[in-house]
Amino acid sequence: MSILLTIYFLALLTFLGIFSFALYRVWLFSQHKEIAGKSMLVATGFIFVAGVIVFVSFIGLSQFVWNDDPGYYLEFLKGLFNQRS
Amino acid sequence: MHRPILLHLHPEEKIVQVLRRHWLVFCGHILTALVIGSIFTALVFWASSALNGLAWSETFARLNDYGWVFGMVAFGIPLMALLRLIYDFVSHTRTGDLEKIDRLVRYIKRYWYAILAGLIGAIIATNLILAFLLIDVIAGHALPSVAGSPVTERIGHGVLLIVTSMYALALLLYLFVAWMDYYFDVFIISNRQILNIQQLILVGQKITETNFQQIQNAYSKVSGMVWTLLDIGTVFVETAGEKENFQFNYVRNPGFAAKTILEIQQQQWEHGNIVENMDDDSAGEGGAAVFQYVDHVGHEHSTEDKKLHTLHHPSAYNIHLAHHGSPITQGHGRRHVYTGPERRQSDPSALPAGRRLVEDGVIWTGESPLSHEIEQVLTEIDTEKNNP
Repeated sequence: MSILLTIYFLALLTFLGIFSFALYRVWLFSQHKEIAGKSMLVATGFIFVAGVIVFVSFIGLSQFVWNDDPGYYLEFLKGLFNQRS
Repeated sequence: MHRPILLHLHPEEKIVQVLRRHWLVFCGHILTALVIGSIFTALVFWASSALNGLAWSETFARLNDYGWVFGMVAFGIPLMALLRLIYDFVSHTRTGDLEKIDRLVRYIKRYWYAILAGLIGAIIATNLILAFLLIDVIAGHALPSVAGSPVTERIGHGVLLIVTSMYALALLLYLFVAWMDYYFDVFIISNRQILNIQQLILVGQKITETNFQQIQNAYSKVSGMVWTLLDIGTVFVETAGEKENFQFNYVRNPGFAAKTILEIQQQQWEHGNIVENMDDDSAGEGGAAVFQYVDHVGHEHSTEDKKLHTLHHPSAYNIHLAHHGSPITQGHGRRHVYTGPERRQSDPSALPAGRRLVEDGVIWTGESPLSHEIEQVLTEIDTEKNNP
């Protein structure tokens, strides 16, 4: 289990949760045609940009084999500790 | 599932005008995001160069392969913003007001260096932001290929990738919430009420409303050179009683909004068959409200056929004028003073706050003292009527 990937996906889930709530607020607002304006259009733009960022990030993530399990970091810390002592 | 409703409109209610803040207000957030993004992008550049064993110049040279993308967007965005500003200004001077165009030309001549510096800064910042967004793609092509390699061998690349992606998403979320906070602040003028909807960042919302009876004054204010050129200012609406006053800033053409409010209020007064003119002594059709007056410190004033009485009211100044010795007839001895639209006497339950129906008419109990000017005018009217 990759620690970095776990952290990234947790952050991604948090982002998606807050973003979804914000989109829900925009949708509620857009139900009132008198004041909706271009809210849905702008929200669609933001969804697109978010999609591009996530897509590009996944392309970069797929370049690696994510083998940074907890054992790797323990060894890394051990090595650091041994160097100091 | 119950869906929250933002606007509760009467079936006969029609929205006359919807005001939003000018888009320049949101530019402040964009500028903040650009500055913070630029700094972070510079750090990413440095980290990426160090991890790949390249100098800054070599990394930048590889990015130049994608220069056409940067050029199109980097020049395009500031140029579009500038064109939009010019369009705003020109549409404002559509009536052919040469003075305003002349002022714009003089403004550009005087501050050209600041405008140019701003443009160059925006281009550089946009370039860096684009590089930051595309760096993952570029890493796969312009830099040494890492396809299929374990991340533990290039842990720095892995960390950089994760951090930049999380930062880009956080920046986007900040911009989205900032846009919501800006766009969902709406000032609505309808034919029955005024609504001020304020979005409080993401989850909060404050809605204040008032009807036209409660409005005492509406005016606008525009100050500052740039705002004056673009006609962006603040609309103020003062309300009576305990209701808070309205204020909506950074609005395009605020004078027109204030004028619209006053015109609608005037129409409502006329529709309610209320005579506004203080000099008019004729009673309206169907019985207009009658106000009676006393001195605000409680002194009795007597004229030839009138007597002023003080009514006891602990928290307000009462104005009561008793007609003494002469009957109240149509067209004689009635006076109309208004702090706002009034309803017909036949509908006492519809009296606005602060008014009380008595046998002879309506007593105004206001919290503000009776001004000497009003008292003087009324005394003069009395004198003229009694001594034609």
